[in-house]
Parts: sequence; C-alpha cells; structure tokens
Amino acid sequence: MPIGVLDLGQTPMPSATWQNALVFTSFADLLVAAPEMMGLYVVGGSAQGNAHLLRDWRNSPYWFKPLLFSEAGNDPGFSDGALDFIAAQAVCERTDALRQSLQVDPRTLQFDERLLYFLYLREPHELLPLRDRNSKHLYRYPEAEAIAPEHEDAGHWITSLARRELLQPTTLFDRTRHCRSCSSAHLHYLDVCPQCRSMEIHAGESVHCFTCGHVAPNADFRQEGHLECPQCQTRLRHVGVDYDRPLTRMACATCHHAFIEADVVVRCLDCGVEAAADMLDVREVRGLRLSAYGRAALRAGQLHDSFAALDTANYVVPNYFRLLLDWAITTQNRHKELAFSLVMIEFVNASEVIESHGAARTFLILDELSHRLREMLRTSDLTTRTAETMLWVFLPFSQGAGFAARVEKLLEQATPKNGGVGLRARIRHAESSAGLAPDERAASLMERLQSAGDASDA
Amino acid sequence: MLQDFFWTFSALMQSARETSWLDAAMKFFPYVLLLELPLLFMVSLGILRYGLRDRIPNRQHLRFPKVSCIITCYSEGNDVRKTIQSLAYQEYAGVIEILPVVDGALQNADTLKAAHSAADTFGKRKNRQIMVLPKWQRGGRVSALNTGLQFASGEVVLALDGDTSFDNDMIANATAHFDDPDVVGVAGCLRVRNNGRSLAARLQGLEYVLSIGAGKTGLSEFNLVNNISGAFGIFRAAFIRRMGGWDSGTAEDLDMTLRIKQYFGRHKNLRIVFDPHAVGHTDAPATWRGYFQQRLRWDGDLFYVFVRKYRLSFQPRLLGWPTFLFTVLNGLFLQLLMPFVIALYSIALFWVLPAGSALGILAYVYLFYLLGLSFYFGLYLLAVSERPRYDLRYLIYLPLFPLFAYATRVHGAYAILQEILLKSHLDSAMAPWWVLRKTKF
Repeated sequence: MPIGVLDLGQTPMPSATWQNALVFTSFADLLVAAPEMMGLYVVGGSAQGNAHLLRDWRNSPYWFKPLLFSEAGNDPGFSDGALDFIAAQAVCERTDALRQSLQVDPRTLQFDERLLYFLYLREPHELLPLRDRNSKHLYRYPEAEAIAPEHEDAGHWITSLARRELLQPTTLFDRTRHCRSCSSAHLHYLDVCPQCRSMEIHAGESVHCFTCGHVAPNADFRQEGHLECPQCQTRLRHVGVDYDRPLTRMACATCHHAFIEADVVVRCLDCGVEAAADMLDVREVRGLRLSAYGRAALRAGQLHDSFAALDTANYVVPNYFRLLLDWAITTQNRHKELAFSLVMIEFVNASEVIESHGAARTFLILDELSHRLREMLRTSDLTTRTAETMLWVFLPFSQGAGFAARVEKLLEQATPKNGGVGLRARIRHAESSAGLAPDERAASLMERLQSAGDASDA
Repeated sequence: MLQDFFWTFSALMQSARETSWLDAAMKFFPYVLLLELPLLFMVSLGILRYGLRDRIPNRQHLRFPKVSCIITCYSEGNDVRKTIQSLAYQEYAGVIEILPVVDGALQNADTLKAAHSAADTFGKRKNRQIMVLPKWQRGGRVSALNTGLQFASGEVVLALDGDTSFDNDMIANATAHFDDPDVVGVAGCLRVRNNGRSLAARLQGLEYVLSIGAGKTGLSEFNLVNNISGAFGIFRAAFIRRMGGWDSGTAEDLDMTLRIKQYFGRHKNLRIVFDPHAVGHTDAPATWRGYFQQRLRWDGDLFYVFVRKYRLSFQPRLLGWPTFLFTVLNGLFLQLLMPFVIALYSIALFWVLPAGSALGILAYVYLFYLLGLSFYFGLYLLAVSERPRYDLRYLIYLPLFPLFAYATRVHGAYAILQEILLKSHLDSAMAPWWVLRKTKF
C-alpha cells in the first residue's frame, strides 16, 4: 500500500521526489479519489490551514492513519509529527503493520474502541492534555477530540476509559479543582465571615492599653487625632511605651462577628453553586497511554475472544495453513529433504481459566504466552487457530518434540503465581521424518493429531 | 537538749490532759487559735453543710448557654493540645467556643503551631468552635484575657491556663450554677496533674486538695470564696464586660475576685460559687526551688492587691459586712500578718528558751495541727471528694504537711517583705516590664 502525499506548496515539487507515493494537490481531490494508502504526508501549507486539514482527516475514513507534516512550521500540533519523507514512510509502514496484525475493522468501532485503536496503532504514544481557558475542565485532549464523533464528550469517555483501567496514567501535568455540581473548573475563591458567610468583612488593628489592660479595636481608641483609652482615659502617645497592637482582627459588617481568619468559599462561575474550599472535586491531569488491559480489550474485540491473543504469532488464517501443509506434504513425498513438523496445542481447561481469572486477565496470560511463543518461533514458522482453543504450529526443518517440550515448560511458567487455575494444554506433534502415509493430506494429519491419545507422539 | 525536748513535750501533754485542749493551746499560740480556729470551724461547718445538703442527684439542666473558653498560652507547647482536647471533648450539649490566645506568638511559635493543629483536629466536632488568636506582641496575661474577651461570644466565659486540662463534666457542672441569675462567678476546683513527679508536687497536690477542694467548698456555703483561680475561673460574660474586663497588673485573678466582691455591698444577692466537682488538672512546680519561686510571687501579690491597690476598698459599704469581715480576717490577718507572727514567734521561742524546749513546744504544736488536719481531711473525703480513692493516697503524706505549711508560711513572710520593700510585683513573669511599669499601683 502506498503513502499519500498532499503537496500544498506554492510551486509543487516534481512528482519524482515522491517515490511510490500518490501525490495530490488538494485534500478535496484526495477524498474524491479515495485511494488506499497507509497515511498522508503533507508538504507546505500554513499551520492554521493544516489544523483544519488535521480535523478533516480525523473525520474521514482515514481517521486512524498517520498524518505527517514535512516541517515543524506547518505542523498544527497533535498530529503524528513533522518528519522527512523517508521517516514518515517508516512511520506509516509500522502503523500499517500493526493494523494488519489486529483483526479489527476500524469502521465498526465505537468511540471508546476508536480511541484505543488509535493509540494501539501508535504505541507507545501518549495522549497529552492541552491547557485551554475555554475548556470547562481547563484541560482537554485534542487528539481524542479529533476522532470523537460529533456530540460525543471526549473528556467523559477518557475518564471512563481511565477508570476502567483501559488507559493508564503517565506524567502528572496539573491538579485541578472542580465544582461538585457541574464539574466545571472555572471557580473563584471568596473570603467570608465564618459565622454569617457575608462578604462584608474588614480587617482592623487592635490596641492594648498598658495602663489598664483594656484591649479593643483601634477605632474605639481614636479621639480627634489622637489615641485615648476609652476605659481609663489615658492618652496613648507612644507605641511600645503606652500601648501595643497585639493582633489584627477581622470584623463582619453584617453580623458584627469578630474573628482572626476568614473562611474561604468557592463559587462556581458556570453554575453559581457555592461550596467550602475543601469540598471540591480534585482531579489529576495526566498524560494517558494504552494500558495492558486496553491492548487486551482491543485485540480481543472487547474481551469476547480471549484466545485471539495468540493470533499475533506468525498467524495465518486456517485455510492458508491447510493449503500450505498440503503443499508441504506433497513436496515432502518427492523431496525427503523438506522435513517439517506439525505441533498441535489444545488448551483443555480454557473455560475454567476464564472463570477463575476473568476474560481480561486470561487474555493477559495468553498475551504473555503468545509473546513468548513469538520469541520461540523462527520467521519461517507459521501458526493458525482452527478452534477457539486449538493452536497449530508449522515448523519447517525442525523437530516438533523439542518445540513441544519448550511449550510445555512455557505453560508452567505462564501459570499465575498468586494461585488460581493454571492453563493446561494437550500438546501433540508429528514429524515428517517419522514417515507419512502415502495418501496423507493436511486434513487427515491434523485429524490424526487431534484424536491422538495420551501418547505424545502420533 | 534531748532532755529538755522530752520534758517540755511531756509537760505540755500532761497539761493538755489536765485542762482542756483549748486552754493548753491558748498558752502558746493565741493568735493561731483566735484567728485560725474560728475559720477552720466555719469551713468545716460549711463542708458538713455541703455534704449533708439535699443535693438533687443528676440535676437537669434548664438550659445550655454558649460557653467561651479563653486559654492563655505561653510556652506550653504541645500541652496546649491536651487542654483544647479536654475542652472539645466535654460532655456538654451546648456550644463551646474555644479561644486559645497565644501571647507573644512569635516567641511561642511551638505553642501556636500546636494550637493550630489542635484546632484543625477538634474544631470539626459538632457544637465546638475553635479560634486561635495569635497575639504577636507579648503583653501579659491581662492583655491576653482581654483580647480573648473581645472575641468571646458566649454567655459564660472561662479564663483558663494552657497547662490545665479538665474532667469531661466540668462545663456541665460549672454552667449549671448560672441558671441562678445571681451567680456571677464560679471558682473551679484545681488538682495537681503532675503530683506523682516529686515530693514537692505531691505535697502541693495535698495542699490544693485541702485549701481548694475542702477550703473553698466550706467558704462557698457562706458566699465567702476567697479567690477565683487564674488558671480556672468561670464568669458571667456580661458582668465582667460591664466591669471592663481584667485590670492591668499582676494577680489579675485576685484582682478580679475583689472587684466582683465590691458589688456585694450594693447587690446583696450576688454570689461567687465554688464547685468542687468542676475539676481541672494543672501542673505545679515539680522542684522546691520552683515552688518557692511561685510562692514568692503569689504571696508578694497578696500585699500588692490587698494593700497597695485595694486598701481603700476595705469598707463594709462596698463589700457587705460578711465579705468585709472575712476579707479582713483571712486576707489581711491570716495571709498577710500571720506569716510574720509565725516567723517572729519561732525566732522568739528559740531566743528565750533552750533549743530543746523550743523544739518540744513546736512538736506539741505539730501534733495539735496534725490532729486537726486529719479531722479536716477525713471530713473532705467523706463529704466532698469526687474521687475519694484517688485522694486517699495523700493520707501518708499528711504527717509531712504541717512542716510543709510551716515552711510556706515563714517563706511567705519573706515574700511579703520583699514586696513591701522592693515592689517586686513590677518584676513579674505575668507581664513584660514595659507594660507593668505603666500600671497605677
């Protein structure tokens, strides 16, 4: 699949610059042509214009595909980056490879799945928050908003995904306080009288008369330009000698309450609800990344098929697998040097495991197993799954017995340490070197392995 | 000398057996008996009356007035927390406003911090309000109390020390008296919290029990409470506001008590009550040196208040006859004059008689005192004490008490002399010198 190039420069570059690329000069043309492509590389254009382009791209059927820019100057931000053409091609290829490894149709996805899918294709990409004074929550996630369908609240979905642990928080950017009534972060803080909540409060100094020990507000002592004690009528001339000012007191003009520290109340600018400062909803604004659960949920198609985790290890669909096996058997009949083995792994207690650990956890166990399996396989080996819990491995030029033993060991390790039911599998293998029946076909060989008894060698 | 001692002692005992006790004692200690015996008799009668009085058990509260507790705080540090906690946890249905006034909040930053943290911890309780008042300028106890009074919004005001904590029924017991509109002040019963620390603290604990727990209970029956302690006084807020709050100078507690009593002549119904069951626990000096230093101030302040400040107020017209007579007898004679009599008597005894005989006489007087004391203590245990079991542990210290009281009295003479000659009240820890020198007395 080629990469698309959108050349918005004043003088378009010669098309020879873009090898194996589909070149367009306007986005409208591109949408009309609707070609198959891995991603779009944009040359030229203003950052502002490209911001619209980015929004349109994320709303198009290409929404999950990378959109890259030639220079940082024309990158509106929150795109897939500004890179040179070669690097951009590499990014697109990588994304496409990840897309192919996942048996998911991007057209059928709900919004929350779309977000997980978007992040999966860009792993280990992080959703970053953007401070925006126009946003009700002060921060928003522009990438998520771009792929959100209209009238969907991206912030709400992100909160939900994070709560379900499908997204995993990363760096802390800020801590915001929200109104408990409308969750707006546009608040303002007001000091009020702790008794009657009036805003009419004033600070005033007190005076302590040394002569009689009277303590009262400054105003009580003020007499036509000098200070005089209202209790003992002593004229107070010198601070520190005749009197001192022991403290500053606050007084409420509404209820005449005297106090030292005012209470702070918070008023929401959006809904007008008042609350105590310690009764606000405190939220953390963090970067977000796809979590292991999120990855799992996505691969499993919302956790329906936990065993789909195994399909990433050199997977081919069963029909191809059978075809290939047939070809191998036929070839082997003529050329004995084409030795191969076939290994069957049947997970026998799948439902038990799912019951014990839950689908998501099971998926993680299988995901881990498939990861290890992938490390054991050579690039020429192939796998398929004929039933939900039945995995087949085709190993050209190698012995199935050794592989089966290593899988057995792997299964022991994959058993959760904190107890619970461990995954058990029936492993059978057949080697071409052991001799095949003259009329052996893929179907009969696989059937023979399936029905083989406890004897490990079929 | 030893021979003299035994001869004198047995002769006195012999004479006591032949004549009446009173006769015998009169020979040696006329002043003691003339002045102190009637007082002791009256107090005992009061205690008896208190004990026998028909007290309605579990008296229902008519109302629960809002109470403001002004706590004067200095360098108590974390101890302030205990005080605030014991007030916040009072078993009282009304509102309690707690006002810790930290005098010299800059120097006493630890105390301020402790008060703030206690306010955060206990201020959220229902019907409890805590407002810490940081007084940046140190101005003495009076300025701290008057500052607190400025902020107090309760009907009843408590003046308390930062190193004093309270039984959880203290406020309920103390405020009950204010149902009577004639009650303007209530004196609380102080006990010594750290009485186990040393012998000095133990004997002070016993002294508090005898002079406050027992003594004031008896006096209260005749509306003659001598003093509302500065560490634990309870007042009707409107009344002391009308009086202008606390007056400058040292011994602001005795000053306040005397000023309230100056209304007794004109308003004969007014009362100051002592409640032995409104209990506070305070720290007493744990060393003898600390004890005598404290008494130097207290006894000196007696002269300052009674003579320097209020000598012109000793009129039946102002105080009413009972209070006038009692104050003259107790305040002027027993507290100011008696220490000199005792000191001079002791010196004369040793001057005139051989040492042995003098000691013999003193031993006889000691025995006489111990007997009276035992009776008095027993009466207190039976009629007054709210924790008799606890108080019983003071019993073994009773034989030491007459010696302790004797030493205190002799030292008192020295303290009063110092006040007379050196005006030591102007150099007090209760307020800075630059404030005290401005006072009128």
